Amino acid sequence: MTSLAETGMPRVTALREAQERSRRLLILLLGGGVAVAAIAELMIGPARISIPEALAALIPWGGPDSQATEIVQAIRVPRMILGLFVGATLGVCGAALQGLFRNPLADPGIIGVSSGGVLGAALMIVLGKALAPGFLTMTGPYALPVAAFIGSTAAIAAVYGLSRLTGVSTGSSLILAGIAINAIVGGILGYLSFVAFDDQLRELIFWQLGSLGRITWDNLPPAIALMGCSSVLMLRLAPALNTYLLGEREAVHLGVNVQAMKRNVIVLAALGVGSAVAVSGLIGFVGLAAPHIIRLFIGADHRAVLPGSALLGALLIVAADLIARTAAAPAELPIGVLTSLLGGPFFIWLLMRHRRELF
Amino acid sequence: MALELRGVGVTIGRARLIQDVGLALKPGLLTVILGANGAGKSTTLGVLAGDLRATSGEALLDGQPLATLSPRQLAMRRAVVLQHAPMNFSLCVHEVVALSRPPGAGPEASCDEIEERALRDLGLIPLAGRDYSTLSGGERQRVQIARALAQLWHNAAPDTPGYMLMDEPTAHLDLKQQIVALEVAQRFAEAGGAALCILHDIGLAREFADEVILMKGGRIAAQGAADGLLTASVIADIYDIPDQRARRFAVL
Repeated sequence: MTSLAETGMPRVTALREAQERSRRLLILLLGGGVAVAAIAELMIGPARISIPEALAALIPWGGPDSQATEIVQAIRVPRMILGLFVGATLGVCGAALQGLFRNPLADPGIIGVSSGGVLGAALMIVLGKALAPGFLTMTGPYALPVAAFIGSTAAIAAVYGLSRLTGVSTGSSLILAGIAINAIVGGILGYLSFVAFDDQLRELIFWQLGSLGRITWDNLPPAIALMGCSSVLMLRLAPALNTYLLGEREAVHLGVNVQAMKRNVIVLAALGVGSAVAVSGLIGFVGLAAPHIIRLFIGADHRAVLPGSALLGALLIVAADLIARTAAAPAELPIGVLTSLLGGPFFIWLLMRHRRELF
Repeated sequence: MALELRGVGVTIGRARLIQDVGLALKPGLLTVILGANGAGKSTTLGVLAGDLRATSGEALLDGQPLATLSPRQLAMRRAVVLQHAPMNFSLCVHEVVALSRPPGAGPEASCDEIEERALRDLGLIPLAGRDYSTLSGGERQRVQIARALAQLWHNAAPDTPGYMLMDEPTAHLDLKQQIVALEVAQRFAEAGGAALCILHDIGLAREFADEVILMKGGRIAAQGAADGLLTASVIADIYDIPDQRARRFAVL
């Protein structure tokens, strides 16, 4: 402190700069972790591929003409890209939803946004061809993301409306609204499984368990375009989300257009989560865990929490996918099963930690 | 130049919260609103802040109707301190004060200086690095006042410091900090700003107010300088208490 007084630097400047340094360090570490995990994702699998082979195969439309190149380019690269985007999107959307609801338990899975997306996709799979064949051919690979987006939007709007009715600030009302939405969706999904044909049933189960394994170069671009849009635009809302932490009226007093911010968060979260669900199914708890862990290290400022959650979400998903692919080899665990097994206990820990503030 | 209400009434459903309220917050003055619970003090502040729409009458900020100004435009000219609810996610004290920065604020160094000054005025420099959620109620209240001060200092031109509206800024504060908070408001007014405080302490009102507004039953019962206004019979009437008791609080 004395040195600060001597140099005449304001105390807040010193504090702010120290904070920025630790944030930059964390972002760098996470970035390194993501790079390592992404390369491991290319190397590890039924066929082992060395680092030079994996890196050589990354040259688009080139690389040595070998089986390794073929495997990496056709299977592992799209899967790795998908993992990065799904993880980043779930991390960013989870962090933004927690900010919007001012509740650390808001997670796209827990409050029903993901299952809304699954419902949209499931309705499209089972009923789409029968009811709206034109829509399906018109939208091509976008059909499922769009359906999932609509489902997610409906779910998020319903949860938001319900929690407003009972008081948005309490954690319990939000969780109860999420339970209600998840129950309704579960019922409809059960009915859809009941009426579905066998091949449709397999698709439905894939969506409910979550997996990165079905991605191809054909359906990757629309999904990552939508997820990328959602995440990048969400980052721009960070300052408004920060101000909103003070309270709704306080945010208005500080000049934030709160209605527009809420609408934007809801639409972008539904878009991001819906697109993620449409290509990878239900992958729970990443949106809960990533922002929470980031906040433990660098505080609640969304300008740092959103990018940090994106990186940590990407790291978690790719690491979980590695485990899912190797733990029971040659079989492959659905990644959603894995994240739920790890995420459930994390959620319980979170409940214990916040019990006084939330209930 | 004033933030004023002209014949303002607010009706929500069937409840008439305030009616026929006329007042003007003028640069250079610290105005205090006194009144019993439910007298319409916070509703009046809500209209002045732009949170509540007047259902009758007009609310004007320097001649422009409040309803025509965007949140951004309002934020540049008036700051509000409400009685505060806790935060679920915690920012550090200096981060809370930095929320006052307008988008596209000037260089960081000059913003830091403004925030430093606001923190210093409220004796918060030692707490600047603390987690806001670990503060006591009184400390949080002071952080909010510092945040509001910084908001106006960031935005306002030097000759028009703007309007500072505070709903019970002295709640949760000990006597020394009550005085610190009101001295901040007083200095703000002396620098050419207009300050409004809702208070429950008649002694503090007498000590600090340039102008006192007494509210009862959703209307303004009386307004003027503290000395002439706060007599025993007026206090007895406003708070609906016996004369003997009121006499102890009145201006002698």
